[in-house]
Amino acid sequence: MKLFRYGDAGAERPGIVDAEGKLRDLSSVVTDIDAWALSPEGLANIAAVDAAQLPEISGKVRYGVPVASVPNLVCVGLNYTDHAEETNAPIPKEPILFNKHTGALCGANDPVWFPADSTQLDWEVELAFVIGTPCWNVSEEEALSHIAGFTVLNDVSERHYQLQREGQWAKGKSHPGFAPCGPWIVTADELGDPQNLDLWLDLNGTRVQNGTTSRMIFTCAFLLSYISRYMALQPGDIVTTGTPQAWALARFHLTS
Amino acid sequence: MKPGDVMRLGITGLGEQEQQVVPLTDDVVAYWRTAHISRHAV
Repeated sequence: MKLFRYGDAGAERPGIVDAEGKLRDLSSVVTDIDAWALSPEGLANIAAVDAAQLPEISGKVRYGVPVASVPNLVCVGLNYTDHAEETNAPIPKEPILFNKHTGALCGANDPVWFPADSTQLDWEVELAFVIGTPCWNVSEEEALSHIAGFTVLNDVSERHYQLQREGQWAKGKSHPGFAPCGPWIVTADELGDPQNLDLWLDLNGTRVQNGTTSRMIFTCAFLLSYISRYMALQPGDIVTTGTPQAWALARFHLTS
Repeated sequence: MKPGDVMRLGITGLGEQEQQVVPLTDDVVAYWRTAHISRHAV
């Protein structure tokens, strides 16, 4: 299933893409795409509905963040082999974790706001997954069963804030609008293998990132298991898994 | 990036995004406050 939220910012409604690719309103089935809707019971409830019978959404659609009230947005740094190669950085022995404030989240096609004193605004296409059931100390073998679905996230960063304003990375990662997410969540059963997906990003029509999740250093299953040793993940949490080549720190000749 | 730049990105099977970089102005902040685009509203 492809699940999304649509409408004006702050007043989004739940939606689903039907088998023909038409957008349908889901508000007669669930109140929102939230922690309950993304639980195994909630997804089964939605799957039991004939989406083609739901009201079709007409006109131009604004997609909101595909999950309501995201509790936590956990990020992984330097997680692609090509990314490490281009920076001559050693392959990390363990995943590098950091957080973006959830206030950075916005819809897939919302504008990215440029702060007046920004000098190094930057982009990173990333595969993200959404937690469906609580997980703490889960094994790698069971990890994927805790994922409700997958989505696209642009990890927008202001590198000067991130690396030259003292402290940790949060300042450069958390500005409102620095985490476009969506347009929808594709449920884990529909996506299949998350380690064989192509990712790309064009800037002004020029391809600047082109990678594959097969070159992740740490797989989604490993990451979820690893992260769950250090924090209890909650339904609705989003974990974004790092970006492939053309890493900004190399472009800006910066070091972390 | 700078204002006016456009990003298009996607992942196989997961759809595509497009964002334009726009200057952060007082009007944008006022819009944000009105729309309640915050962690409690997204």
